[in-house]
This record gives sequence, C-alpha cells and structure tokens, in this order.
Amino acid sequence: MQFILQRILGSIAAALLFFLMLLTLVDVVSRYGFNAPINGSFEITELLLAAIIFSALPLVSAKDDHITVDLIDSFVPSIIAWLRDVAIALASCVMLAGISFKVWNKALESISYGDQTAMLFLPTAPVFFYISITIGLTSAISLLLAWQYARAGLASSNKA
Amino acid sequence: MYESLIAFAAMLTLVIMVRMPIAFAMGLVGFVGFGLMTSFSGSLAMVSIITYDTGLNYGLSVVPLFILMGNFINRAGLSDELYTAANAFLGHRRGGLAMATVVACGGFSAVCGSSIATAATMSKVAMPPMKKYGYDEGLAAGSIAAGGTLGILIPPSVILIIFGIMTESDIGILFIAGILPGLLGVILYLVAVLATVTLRPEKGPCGKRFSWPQRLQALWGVSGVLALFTLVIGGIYGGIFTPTEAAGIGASGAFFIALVRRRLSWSSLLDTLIESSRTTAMIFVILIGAEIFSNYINIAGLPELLSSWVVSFDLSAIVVIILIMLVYVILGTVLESLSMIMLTVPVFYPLVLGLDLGEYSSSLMDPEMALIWFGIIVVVITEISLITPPVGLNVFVLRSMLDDVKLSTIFRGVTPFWVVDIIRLMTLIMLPGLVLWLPNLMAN
Repeated sequence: MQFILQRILGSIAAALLFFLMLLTLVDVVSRYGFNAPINGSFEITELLLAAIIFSALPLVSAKDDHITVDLIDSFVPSIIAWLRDVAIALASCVMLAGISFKVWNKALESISYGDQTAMLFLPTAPVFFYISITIGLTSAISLLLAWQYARAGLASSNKA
Repeated sequence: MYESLIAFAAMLTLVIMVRMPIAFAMGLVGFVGFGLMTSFSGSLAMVSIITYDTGLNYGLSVVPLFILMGNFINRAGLSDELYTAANAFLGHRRGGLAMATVVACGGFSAVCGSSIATAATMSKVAMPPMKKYGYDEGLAAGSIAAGGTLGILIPPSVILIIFGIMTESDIGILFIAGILPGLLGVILYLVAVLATVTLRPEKGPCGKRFSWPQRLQALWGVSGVLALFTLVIGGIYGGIFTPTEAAGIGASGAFFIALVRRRLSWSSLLDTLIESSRTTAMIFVILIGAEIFSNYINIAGLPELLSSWVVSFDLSAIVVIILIMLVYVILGTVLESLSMIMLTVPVFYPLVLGLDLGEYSSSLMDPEMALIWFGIIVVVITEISLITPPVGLNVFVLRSMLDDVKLSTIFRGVTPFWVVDIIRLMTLIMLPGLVLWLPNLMAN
C-alpha cells in the first residue's frame, strides 16, 4: 500500500517537474523567438511548483530523510535514541495534522468565494485540497514511523 | 526581546540535542513563540499561510529547476571530458594532475550547484589517474575535496539561491557576484598545488604531455558544458533571462546533453526527476520552517536586540561582520553547510542590513549590495567549513568514495587548500569591490 502510494506520488512529481521545465523553455523561446509569450505561464508555474513540492513531501517523510544534525548521535544511549525518534515522529504527526486541517479550511473557503487565478481563471481550491491531502498523508506516515520505531525499539530492548 | 534569545536557544537544543529535523524544530519554536505572543489559533493560521504561500511562490521555482539541471549534468557523465580537457593542458607539469582536478572541479561547479555532488563525481574520474602516476594520496584526495567546495560558490549554486530567498536578495546578482570569488578560488587552489609540489616534488610527478591537436580535441569534448554555462549565466548577466527562466533553460539544456550522450533511459529519467523533486521538497520544508521562525523572532524583536548590543558596545560595522564570521567558523566545525545557512541567516541578515557598512567601504554604501557581499563571504566561509575537521563534509564524501585512504590523510592533504581559502576569505572581506565589481557592471 505504502509502496504503491510512493510510486504514484513520485510519478506525479516527476511528470509535473518535467512539464515545468518544458513550460519554462517553451515560454522563453516563444517570447524571444516568436514574440508570443505563453499567457499565464506565471500562474501555471506557481500551481505546478506547489503540486511538485507537496507530492514529494510524503516521500521524504517516508524515508525519514528530513535534514537533521546528528552531532551527538554516537553518544546517545540506544534506549534514549529510540524514545526520542518515537517522540519526534509523533510531534511531526501532530504538527502536520494541524497544518493539513487549516489548509483544508482554506480550500473550503476558496470554493465558497469562488477564488480564481487572475489571468487564466483557474480555480485555486483543487490545489489547496491537494496540499491538504498530501500534508495529511505525511502526517499519517509520521504516525506509522512512530509505530515502527516503537516496535523496533521494543524488540531490541527485549533482546538486551 | 530576551524571549527571542530563549527561543533561539530552544531551537538549537531541539536541533542538536534532540536531533529534531531542522525544519520541524524551527517551525515548532516559531509556532509556540508566536502563539504565546498572540494566540495559538492565530499562530496556526500564520503557519498554514506560510506553508502554502511558500509552495505557490513563482520566484521559488528556480530551486527545483537548478537542482534538476545539476542532476541531469551528473547523469550525463561530463566529468570525464572535463577532467580530460584540463589534464590535456596541465597534466605534463609537476603536480599537473592535481591542478587539472582543481580546474575540472571549477568547470563542473559552473553547471552544478552542489559541493557534495562535485566532489563525489570528480573523485571517480580524477583519483584513478593520480594513483596511476604515483601521486601522494593526501594531495590527490585533498585537491578533489577542496575543488569540490567550489560547487556552492561558482554559479549556479543551491546555497546562493537559498540565501537569496531568505534575504529577498536578487538571485541573479548573487550568482554574478559568485563568479570572481570562485575564479579566485581556482587560482589560489592552483597556487596551493604548486606550493605543495615545490616543497615536496615527489608528491606530484609529471603526467603525460598532450599534443596540440589532442588538446583541441579534448577542449571540443567540453564545448557542451561551456555553451550551457555561457547561455545560463550569460543570459542572467545580460538581463535576458530571469533566474527562473535561466534555470528552466539550463535544466532543458542539461536534459538534451544527457539525451544526446545516450545516458538517459526511461527509468533513469524517472529516477532523476523523482530525486530532484525529493531534494526540492526537503529544501522547501526547511524554507517554510525558517520562514515561520524568522516571522516570530522578528516580531519578538531579536534584530532590535542585536542592534542595541552593537550600539551599546560601540562596535564598528566591520567588527560586527568579523564577529559574525567567527560565529560561522565555530558553527562550521560542527554543522553541515545547508543547516548552518538555514539556521543563521534569518538571525544575521536584518542585523547586517542595519549596519552602516558604507563607512567601512564605499562600495558597500547600498545596503542591498552589502547584503550580496555578505552572502558571498558567508558562502566562502561555508566552503571552508566543508574541509575543516572534525565535520568536513567533503572530506567525508571523499573518504566514503575511496576505501583505502585514511581520513587523517585527507585532512592533512587538504591543509594547503584550507590555508589559501583563509587568504581568499580575508581578501574578499578587505576588498568588497572585488565581489561587487561584476554585479555593478551588470547593473549599469
């Protein structure tokens, strides 16, 4: 399940990033070459960027790849280390859930006001829903990580 | 005011003692601090607005595109050609292979924005020939580790982009400002190699001499890299492209180079794109955390507090800069480069912006230009931290790539490069005009 999800999100991020690259290229070429810039490429770029980042966010959390400073790692006893990892994963889970909830409200608000982009009149609500969902997924993944760390920690302390 | 200092200490404790991811630590402390000063529901609203606004920011699309460009260049395997070309001109001299390594690293940095990628890639192509000719292991590994640091100074540079975003400086101007200090770095590294082999000739024997037709052929091999750099950075310098557009062109160019060289399959293309998206997400999460944190310390008055200290101790502007540099030297011994920039720049840049640096040097009269200069010296000091024990990241990269070379050997080999780096840093602090010459030319 988690693996399939990662494939899907990874492919979405990859396709959108490739599209962003080509969009920028075509925009510049048509502006200088044919004096015909793409209308609203600015807006599409913004929406694409948000979609790329928040598609890839669950992938980063799933591998616990967020940048940390592991300066004193070798001095920390393993029991404290795993308690710490569980606590951090739980804290991340709560923080992300809060943000996901707030962005969901923003999406609902955006529907009720009928928010659109200025040039292409694209509705903005879908992007906010997407951001909220992927942050929510990341929160769920953090919970899963906390569970995995707790189990691995218990197993190793039972052995010892 | 003082609670902002407590917040900063709390954040550092979470990052270093609790090993919380930097992004979450900055976000959490910023959220709690802001919540205590206003209300927690207001603080959560602030956090969520920053989260989606950062994602929906046109100017930030420069980040994934330059990362993608570097990753395509890596796939394209251009490091071979770069090394061969540099070697064709320099290899026959004493220490020539190490000099070629430095120049090839400089060339790779001109299309790749990461120091670690530069060091890792170059070690694969530069180490075997140096071994074959009996180079001293320390000199060989040291030249790669030091040469690799150029990746974050010579544009494009991921660190300069992040500095630009955090301080709202023009990324194009920052890139242009990085060119001369980067070239100075190459020249001084060549001097370091020369000094090493002058004292101990046996450390760097001469390699084979290339004929002129061979040299021209080798040069032709790097024409793609040269063309791409000229297009991307020349386009920014000439004001033809915005940095975002240049990044899109650069990524596309690098994609076509990799494609023409038959280094891309469907699966490696997908891998490159996913990897670039992941790196981008990692950087954005920290940007969001840093933004939340700096939002809090700004309303809590940390910049005013620091400025009032400067006034009460009657410090001149340049003394403050030197004190900041000392902080970086200390942090640099324990923190990794990206973390160091993300943690410190939100605190220092309002202070630097408020300093009257014009009385130190007339070229720093304009506060925005002073900030550009500050960005460059921060990056140079970050480069130095990459080869400074005990946590010199580039040295660790080299150690992991070369199984049979000891860590202490690499640190010893890197020492001459470290010495010239300090000379470079002092030069750039004393002569701000050197950093700002090209950006000023560009503005006119």
